Amino acid sequence: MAETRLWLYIDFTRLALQCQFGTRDSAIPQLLLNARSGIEQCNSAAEALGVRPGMNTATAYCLLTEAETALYDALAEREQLQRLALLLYQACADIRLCPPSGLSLEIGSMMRLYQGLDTLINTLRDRLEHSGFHYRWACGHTAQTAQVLAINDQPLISSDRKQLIGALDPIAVTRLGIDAKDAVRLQAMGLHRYAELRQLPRAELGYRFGPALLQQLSALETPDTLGHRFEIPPHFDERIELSHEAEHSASLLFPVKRLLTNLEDYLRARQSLADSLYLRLTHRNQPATRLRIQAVQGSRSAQEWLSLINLQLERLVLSAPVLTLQLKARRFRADPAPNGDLLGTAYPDADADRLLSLLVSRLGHHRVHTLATTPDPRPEHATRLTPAVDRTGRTESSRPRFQPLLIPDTEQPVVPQQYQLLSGPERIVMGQWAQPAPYRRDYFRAWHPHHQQAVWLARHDNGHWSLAGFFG
Amino acid sequence: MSLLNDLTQSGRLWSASDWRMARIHAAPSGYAALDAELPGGGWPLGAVTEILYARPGQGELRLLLPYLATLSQEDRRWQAWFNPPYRPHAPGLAHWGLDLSRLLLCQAPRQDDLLWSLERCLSTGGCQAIIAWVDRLDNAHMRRLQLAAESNRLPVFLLRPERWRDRASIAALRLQVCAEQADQVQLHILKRRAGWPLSNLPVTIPLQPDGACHHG
Repeated sequence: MAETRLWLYIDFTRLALQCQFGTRDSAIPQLLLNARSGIEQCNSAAEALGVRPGMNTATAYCLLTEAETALYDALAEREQLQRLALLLYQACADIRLCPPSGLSLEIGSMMRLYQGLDTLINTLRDRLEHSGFHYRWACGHTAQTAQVLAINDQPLISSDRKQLIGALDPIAVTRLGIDAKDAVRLQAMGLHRYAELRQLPRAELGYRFGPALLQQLSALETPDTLGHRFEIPPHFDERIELSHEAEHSASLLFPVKRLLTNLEDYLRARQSLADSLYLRLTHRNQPATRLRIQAVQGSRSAQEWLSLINLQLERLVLSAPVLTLQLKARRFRADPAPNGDLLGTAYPDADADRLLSLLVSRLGHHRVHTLATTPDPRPEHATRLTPAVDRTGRTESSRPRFQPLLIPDTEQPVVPQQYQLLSGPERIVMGQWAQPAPYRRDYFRAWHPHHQQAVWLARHDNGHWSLAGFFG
Repeated sequence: MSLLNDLTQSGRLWSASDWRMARIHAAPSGYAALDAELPGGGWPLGAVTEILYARPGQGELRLLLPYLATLSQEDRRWQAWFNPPYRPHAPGLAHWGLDLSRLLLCQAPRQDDLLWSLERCLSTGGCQAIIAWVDRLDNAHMRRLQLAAESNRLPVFLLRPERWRDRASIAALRLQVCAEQADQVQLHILKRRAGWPLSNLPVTIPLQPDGACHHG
């Protein structure tokens, strides 16, 4: 079976409206107003009372006793279209964005994967129903045909070529997407349907109407793509404007959850995990509060991220009410192949990684470290503390020395006569290349009989003595 | 009767005549003199052990290190150290054979953070042992720790100042360290399961592990 090109056009009829008010059907009429004080979109409750898109706002208000209104936001609408494309991206590879509210999918090439149109359509339908957005769709043998059919509410789902070509015939010339002036002239000539237009010789039409009409007609008939191809954005960056000012960090959890659900979709489409998230809370008059949330070994699940964010939020005291939330993820890691044991349980370090994520979220990055030895012979530089989340994971060579277990951060001067020296001097010298001030010290293991402490003493070049460590 | 059996087996109830028979999960401490006196023959697993000491450098950490080193090499999970009073010195710890890559060093200055973290270490299954330097710890919290340690079979070592010696404590094992010389300590077992308290147990705790003397 040779692959034939087949297109599916999905038009989200109330995209901007649902973007503002949420996807749940409301019994209260909802109106989306555009800048020219007309109705851009309205919900079914408003339509039932006679409101139509394009109507004047004043007229609409006369029809309604109560209404929720919001202003049309083109940016939010475009972002939502991207999100919907992302949602479908897991089912279909070639998606094209047709702003403001359409998606054009090339599904002919996906047929072999899904073994038939029905399976693919069902997959897409499940995803769309789950998103809650109103939509109408149609197939077409060209992208343009699919679009015309979808917009004219002809939900034709078929891969039969003859049926697809014939479906366009009853469409009125005014609804074909051709220039309005041309359509009026065609109607004046007695040509009302596409079927009648199709039979006319093209050269004559071109002579009378100019090349623009011919181009539009040929676009309906020849496979051509629509709009820009959708690509997964390289980073995740989304924000939510809160409908009210949030004064307590606990009330941020719900909007954060929405962002995390979107993040989960994004990560699933990318087939990767995020290992750190940045949450930015903006206030009215103060600099924004930033939080960094880290999951060791990365995570995708919204639930897991939520519990980590919750740990930080419950300790966060907001200095001012929060207006917007912004969630960013920039670093991703590949989804680890399931390399667990035969029983299919998680990989063995999962518990240790989860514990680390929890500790880091609660205590902060700067309070959880791993230790390593360094080649530096100076005791105060011989230990390297690395924030545990940044550890590389490779095993480092350890350099054991017969030295104390604990080292004070500052050197305390001591009186050597109070100690019994247990060992002869161990001299540590650093060249001038390492540090400008000469470094030469003699170290002694010593015992303080009165305090009963086993310690390490350092004799400096200038004759002073200091306490350099404890033998724990 | 079965309750009596259960209690006897877990070492909470013991008879003076056969106290050494109690079955307590324990791991050798690496010091034979001490193991002989500890119920089960070593550090109790799944219990809180309290070690009281006056000043750093009295052997309070060296007492634990042979066991911690063995554990760190056998177990892939974290060994969590909380709030050490001074910076742990990596070469010194490595000298005792501690696998530093398993060591997780945490600072939890606030008491509620500390307790939360300790409980999380015990309950998530990502941790092999806990060593925490703590000062105040009320009995309710200690009890929660003890229960969490018990249900997850993990050893918890609390290093505490000597002044808490006379306060009641829920810890399963309480030791007081008194150094006599740099490598000689007197241990007082203030409390142990299936046994009487014991004073003045001399134990040799060298400044470096036994096997390392020749290289040191």
